[in-house]
Amino acid sequence: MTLRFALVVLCCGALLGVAPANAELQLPYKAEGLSKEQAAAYLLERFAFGARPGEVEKVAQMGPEKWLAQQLAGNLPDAELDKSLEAFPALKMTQAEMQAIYVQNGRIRRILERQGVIDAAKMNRKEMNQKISVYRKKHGLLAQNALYNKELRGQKVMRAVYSENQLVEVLTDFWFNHFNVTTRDGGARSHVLTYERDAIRPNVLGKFRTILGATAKHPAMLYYLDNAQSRMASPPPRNQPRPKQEVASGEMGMDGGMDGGMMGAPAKAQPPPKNRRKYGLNENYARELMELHTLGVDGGYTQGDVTEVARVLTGWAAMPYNNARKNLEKQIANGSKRLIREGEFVFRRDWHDKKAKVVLGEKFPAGGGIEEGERVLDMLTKHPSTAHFISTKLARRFINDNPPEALIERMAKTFRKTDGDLAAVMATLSESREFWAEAKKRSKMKSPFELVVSSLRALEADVKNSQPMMSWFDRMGEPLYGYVPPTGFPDYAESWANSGTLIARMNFGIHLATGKIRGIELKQLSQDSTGLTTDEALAMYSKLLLPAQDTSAIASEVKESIPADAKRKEVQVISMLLGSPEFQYR
Amino acid sequence: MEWSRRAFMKGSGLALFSASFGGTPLFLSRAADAANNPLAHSRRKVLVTIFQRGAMDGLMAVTPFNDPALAEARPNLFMHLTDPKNELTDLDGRFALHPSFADLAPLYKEGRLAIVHGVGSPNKTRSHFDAQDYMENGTPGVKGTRTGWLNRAVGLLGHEGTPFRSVALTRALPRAFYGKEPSIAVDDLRSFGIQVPNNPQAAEQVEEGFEAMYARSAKRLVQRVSEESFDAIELLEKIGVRDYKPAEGAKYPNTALGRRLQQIALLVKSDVGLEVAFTETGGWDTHVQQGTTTGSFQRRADEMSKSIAAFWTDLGTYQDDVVLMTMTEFGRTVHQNGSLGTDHGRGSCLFVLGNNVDGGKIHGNVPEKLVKDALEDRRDLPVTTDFRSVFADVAGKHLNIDRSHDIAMFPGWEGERFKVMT
Repeated sequence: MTLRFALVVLCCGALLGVAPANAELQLPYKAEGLSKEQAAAYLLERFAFGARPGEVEKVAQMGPEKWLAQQLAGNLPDAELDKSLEAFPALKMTQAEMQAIYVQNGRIRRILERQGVIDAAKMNRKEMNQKISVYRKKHGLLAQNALYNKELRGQKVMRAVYSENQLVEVLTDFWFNHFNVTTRDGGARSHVLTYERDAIRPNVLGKFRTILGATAKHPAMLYYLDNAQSRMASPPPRNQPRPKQEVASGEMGMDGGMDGGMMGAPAKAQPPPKNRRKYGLNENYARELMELHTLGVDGGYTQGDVTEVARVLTGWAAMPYNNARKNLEKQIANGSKRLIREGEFVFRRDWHDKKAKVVLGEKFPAGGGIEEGERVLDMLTKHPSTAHFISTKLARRFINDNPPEALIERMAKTFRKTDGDLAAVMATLSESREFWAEAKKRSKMKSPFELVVSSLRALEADVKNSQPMMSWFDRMGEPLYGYVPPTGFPDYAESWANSGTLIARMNFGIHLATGKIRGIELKQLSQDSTGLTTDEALAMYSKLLLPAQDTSAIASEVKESIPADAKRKEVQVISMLLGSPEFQYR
Repeated sequence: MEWSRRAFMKGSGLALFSASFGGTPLFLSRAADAANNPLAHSRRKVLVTIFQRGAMDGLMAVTPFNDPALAEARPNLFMHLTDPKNELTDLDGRFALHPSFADLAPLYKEGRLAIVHGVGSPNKTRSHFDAQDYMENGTPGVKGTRTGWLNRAVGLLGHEGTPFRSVALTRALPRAFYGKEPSIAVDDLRSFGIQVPNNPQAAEQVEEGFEAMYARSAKRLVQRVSEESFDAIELLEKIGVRDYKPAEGAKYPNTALGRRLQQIALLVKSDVGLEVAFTETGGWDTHVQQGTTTGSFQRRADEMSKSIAAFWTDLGTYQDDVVLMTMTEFGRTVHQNGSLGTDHGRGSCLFVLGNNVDGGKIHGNVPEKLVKDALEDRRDLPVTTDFRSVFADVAGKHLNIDRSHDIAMFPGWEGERFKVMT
């Protein structure tokens, strides 16, 4: 960087009243009566998934400001995590590679039917399955649900527990939920891994426009909210309207979220309709783009704008995976002007509504193409409602369920002045008195995911296999990647706490402490330790689980509940602490 | 909902507590309770819903056995009435019940069971996910709807509820229950409670420890919710969820659905304030070797009809309070496919069971002959009845929700209720 350029950057930063990235953060924790340790513990609860043993002291020593600056940079080396992620081969594959390797039984069966190896009329199911598994072995194919049940969910847990870049993981959880998609959607499910990996995680500390654009163009979102099948509304079809094809029917055909009894995929793809082109606008993505992703429900748009944005986005589609893919690839290779490909995103000019449009009062002349959609995303990013809406959601996540409006305004101001720089917005939040005033209240309820991960971090879990744990997320009300509506999980305490889920939280703690969740070993709980008294166990584990806090009240309550003749008192102490009201909050 | 602990304990709950201690037969103390305490929750109307995930083939469940066009379209799957091995139950001279649904035939003949055929969604999606989402959120074509239709229905009941007002016997909260009204979702009521693995004796002590801890918590939300939770646990113990004996003659199959319906019956009969229940059964996505009298369809149908029949017998005198309704996201193709199965279609059928149901009838419209020109998109049983019009009639009439609230139950829908209740 030349000196002159650096000066310009600094001057701009100063003029805008925004701290440049290399400036020291000013964290007013002392003004709120917090010690360095308390500040460190609070930061680790809010900007990380909780403290590991010794981490509060470490952060206090290096200085909370420095720790947070590192987190906002988000580029600490992560060797330990990288090693454990080797258990998830899909993380290194392209979408096309995954598509080729993680396949449903139905797809293999259709291949074998064509080859004459399987004859459904003559074979029983067992024989068919045998042929299928032989084929799998021969070609190194894996089950499709391993991709989203095992690898996607498994890597989320591993990263949250072990990553040094904790804020990146916290924000990945936040932004995924903001731009929610779900593996329960047959069309989206096999794309969710790359969605999080490519569209969300690399962009959580970048510009809002970048993450917005990446989600808009990702097949997971394009399928989930139907933009992949949205086309110009006219002309009137000559024949009867054709049915919607079972979108890439090889990828659907599951029974959509029921916990058992899958019968496999469609036997045969539907006979291709003679008239492949299906006209018809689908407004689902356009509506949620404004209502949920940018402006907010009262952000100042009309139903008319929804329709116009949907028209703007016609032709924003995904590369198919059936025979149509080769055909498109060929056309692109031949320099077709009708197609613009970016990875798995493809703009199809022949599906695009080329007539004039008006979005939020701005005119779009007839004859436009992909640039219309980019322009709408620019407009939405710059709109003041977006700055306010995004700031509100971040403040709700990082401060409390009803964040103070004055702070939201300051965050929104940073958002507007920095062109939606998400790290700068987080810095504004962290430097506010309002943020630090929350430290002693601990009024934000942990999501089930936060509860689990903070438990695993505090007790130094060795997660050998996270699969046995997954059903706990369901029971506690947060099935990972399983929230159906585009809103994402609601982020307030009432939505997490009901009669069923609160009991499940207590049971989770008991099962973790008693070693009844397979695949997990707690390094802070020695397996042969029988010697701790209740007092010793309380001293040790309340410091680990509720660091830098006054735990005298809860300690006496836990003590009361443990009979003097109980065996392995430390297990009971951990169970009670994990299930305590205090540990449900951060 | 601010559920009042005191009101609940004074109501049905307390009656049960004393019943189990004093040895008074349940029904007596319940009757006494209802007579003495007009505020008791006892004998609320209950709507029980079963979602058949995967899209049930309505044309096999309730088959138009005279239709030569169907016979032609399904050379291996059509079931002839005249073939004795099929054991079809002729319902009305035109439609017959699949043999594995035979346990429902007596209920149909008694006029308690109604069938609506050709029912489905106005949205043409043939994706399981989208169609289930629309059927549960109650707004076909609109994905952004935050709440589920059953949660909205509960919100329209106009009176206080107990923690057991809205219960899903499922592993995770179903989409139909999303919303601000509290619901319990639990796979098995026996697991609702504090569990200490390998040491059930310790559970009570741990539970007391948590109860005390939460009772003193300054976090008002969890303090209140935990109080509800521990009362609910206690209540489940009192009503004997672990050693429940169904009424004589009620033979539930030993399957997930059988157990779930059995537990719903227990909740109904225990007057704990249940008003809306939801459960589900999977495996209806019969693309391959659907079978006729044996096979994947037959196994699911058998489980379902036996479960429902046992549930109904088990209810005994509570039958008057309960309506059971089934639903499935869409139907299947009229033509069989190359793997002796059927693919995703449009219209299917559903069952409504209750003493206030216009039963013993097949409602709705199915084309006389299922020839291509009569089909939706030339391939599927046409959707002639919007599922919302049936749901609105069943929920509305049974739970006493006024017609003027239908628009709140099904936002954006301005249709008429489809008359299936008396």
